[in-house]
Amino acid sequence: MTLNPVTRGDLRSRLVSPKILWMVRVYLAVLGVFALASLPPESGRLAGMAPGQVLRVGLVLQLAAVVYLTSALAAGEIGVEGEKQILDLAVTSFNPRTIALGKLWTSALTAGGLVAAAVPLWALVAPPEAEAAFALGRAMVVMVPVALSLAAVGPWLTAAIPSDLARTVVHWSMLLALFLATRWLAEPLVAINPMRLLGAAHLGAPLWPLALLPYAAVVGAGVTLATRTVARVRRAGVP
Amino acid sequence: MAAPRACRLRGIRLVLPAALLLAGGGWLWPGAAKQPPGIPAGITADIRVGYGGYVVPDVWIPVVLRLRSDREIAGWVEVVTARLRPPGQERVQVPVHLLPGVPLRVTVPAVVHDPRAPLAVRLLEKEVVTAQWQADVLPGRLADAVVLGLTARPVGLQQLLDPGGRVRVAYVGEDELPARWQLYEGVSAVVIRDLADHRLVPAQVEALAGWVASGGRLFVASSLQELAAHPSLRPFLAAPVQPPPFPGAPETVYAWGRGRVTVLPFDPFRADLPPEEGAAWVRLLRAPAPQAFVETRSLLAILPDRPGTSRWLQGAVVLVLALYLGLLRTILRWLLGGKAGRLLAAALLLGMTAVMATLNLAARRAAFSFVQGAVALGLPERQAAVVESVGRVILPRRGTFSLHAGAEVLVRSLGAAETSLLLDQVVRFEGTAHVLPVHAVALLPLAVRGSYREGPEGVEVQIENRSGRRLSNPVVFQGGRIQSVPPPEPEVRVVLSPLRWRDPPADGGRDLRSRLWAWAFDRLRSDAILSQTVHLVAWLDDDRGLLRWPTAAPLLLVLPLSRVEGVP
Repeated sequence: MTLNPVTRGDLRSRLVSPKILWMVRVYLAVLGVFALASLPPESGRLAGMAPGQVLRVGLVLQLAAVVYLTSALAAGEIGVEGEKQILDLAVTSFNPRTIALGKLWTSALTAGGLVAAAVPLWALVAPPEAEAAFALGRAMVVMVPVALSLAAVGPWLTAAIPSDLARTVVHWSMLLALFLATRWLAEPLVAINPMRLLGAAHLGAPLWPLALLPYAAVVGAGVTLATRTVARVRRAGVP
Repeated sequence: MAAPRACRLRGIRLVLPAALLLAGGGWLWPGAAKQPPGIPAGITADIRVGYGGYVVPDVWIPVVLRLRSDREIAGWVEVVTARLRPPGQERVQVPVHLLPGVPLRVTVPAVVHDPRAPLAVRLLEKEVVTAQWQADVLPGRLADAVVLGLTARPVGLQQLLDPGGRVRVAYVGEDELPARWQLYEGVSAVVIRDLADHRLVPAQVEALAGWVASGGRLFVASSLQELAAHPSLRPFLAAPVQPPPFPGAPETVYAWGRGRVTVLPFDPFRADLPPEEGAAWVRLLRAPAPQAFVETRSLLAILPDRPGTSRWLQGAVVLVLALYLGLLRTILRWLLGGKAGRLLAAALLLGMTAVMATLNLAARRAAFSFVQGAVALGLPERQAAVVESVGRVILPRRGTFSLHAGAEVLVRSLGAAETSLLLDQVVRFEGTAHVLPVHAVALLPLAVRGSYREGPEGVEVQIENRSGRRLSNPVVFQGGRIQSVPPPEPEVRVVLSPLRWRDPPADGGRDLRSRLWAWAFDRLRSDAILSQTVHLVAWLDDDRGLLRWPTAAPLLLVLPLSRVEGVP
């Protein structure tokens, strides 16, 4: 199995980028401080917070970080030296679908890498029981599709909104909509709220994977939009 | 209700109400509680709280139950006491086996923290409450301390006590003397006039001797010949004789550990006590009891407030985190290096996860354990030691902490928590507090004794250790100064050089052992104002000790050395 050429190029750029290195270090350092403060019995010192709640707050913090970093990289809000956006790739000989899927793979591997990098930190604070490890695994797995849903729209945003400022505003609006606006949805739609979804996966609530379906739909829409944008650029010269 | 009763009973459990309505109230003992409504027919209980009906709050007191059942019951009796500040409950459970129609007498230790909150007494069968009673503590029965009078004619002592004071006289029979020495905690003195030795069980004799040795005051109103005729009192006569505490006081005073046994040449129960003897007697009774060597609060104060994650563990975590962040560049580069590189990166991530998981386990093991300081005050006369331990339980995330208590250990929480004490079995603390101060006390056998004599060459010390436990770093304390002596294995005899005395450490520093060490000398210096007794201070191996705590704890032995007259 060969890696998508677009993904391969993006990963090469990201893996050697000092900016990405420091970004991951800051991300892990913040989570590390949190993990250190969550060590028993330290966790009980946080007023009004039980040790289990500290772990959940940490997971929400990680979810927010993974979603933001993955989508910001995909939307070009965090620029990486040498990484090509889809407008640059539109003039290459790659198939538009290859380009769109390649960008999606890049985001998926980035989100997966960020989640995997934090595994040692959660090993430091997770209760030493098999059930707790499974619960933590479920919660971490959820982070990837949630992050991917916003990141899938990112490549299209880079082509559709040329202004960096406007794109950043749209990106943050999407983030806020995802995390906050979905809280006001009626039951059972509110289950798609990332924090609710994370909690449901962590607790092993029944049917929690169903809440991932809207995210899959957004990913599909993002890939379609990116594919059509590349095709339109090739055909008309403008996105 | 009969006059001397401390408690008023009423049933609170509605089981078989029709049968109980028919059963009505029954009286088991003269002056006993009415059969409460709401308990199963065929089960009766007489409950007596405290000493002769008097309750001393915040100390261990006996709750004496006399149970009777028409059927065989093998279960538990539990006494639950509550308090408002800090909120919590204490539950003490004792196993019982009731045979049909045979009354069973059970003594349950309990601490009444809030006299307004009634005591709940329950009979449990297979962890199900079979019967439940409630005992109220009446305000007029509260006391600061109690003088126990053991006499066939229960009158005469109260006239000598200040009527406005809160020290009360409780006349008890032999069977009412506690069989656990801790239950004397609220007793300021025991006065014995009439004693039938055959009515005492060995545990009661041991408890009385242990209490006196730990600082109790025993007065015996009889001649020396009569005293020697009592097998349970005869051992006191072998103790060193002390000078009378004040002119005009009885001259026969025996030092028994930290306590005193005074032989009264008059009958203090007499109504027509001569004025001089009455004055001496009142002065004796009102004299302050010897101060306990271990002050719980001061011992608790030297423990770390919140043990938290140990510094080395925090350092290790920070170091591993820093290493991980430092290795990130290498991991990212390895991911570019083909299949082998990706495998290496995955292995490194896995290894880091394993290291973190190990640190996690280490932190948890340390976090749920107990930081304690324990002091064993040797009682050479009894070949025993009073071991007092204070500490802080770190309640884990589920809020419950259990540990095994050795025999004869009574444990209580000093903070807000639900405490369950299954005597001789398990102590369980439940609560929302994160750190819970607790106090445990026991009288344990400890065959360590020592003596000293002063001669022209200096002080000669002889120490004998037959306890099977190792003594380490022993020092002799005299007059505020210390001098090291070799560890007794099992005996040591050494003449202390006048040139090698040194000052004990004044500041304990941060280490718990050092702080406990300094605390002991501070207490001995305070003690030395009242008594010039020479002491041995040493660390005692405690692997078979007081409580089976999850972690080892330093146990300090403080042993008074007896003075031997004569030239070495």
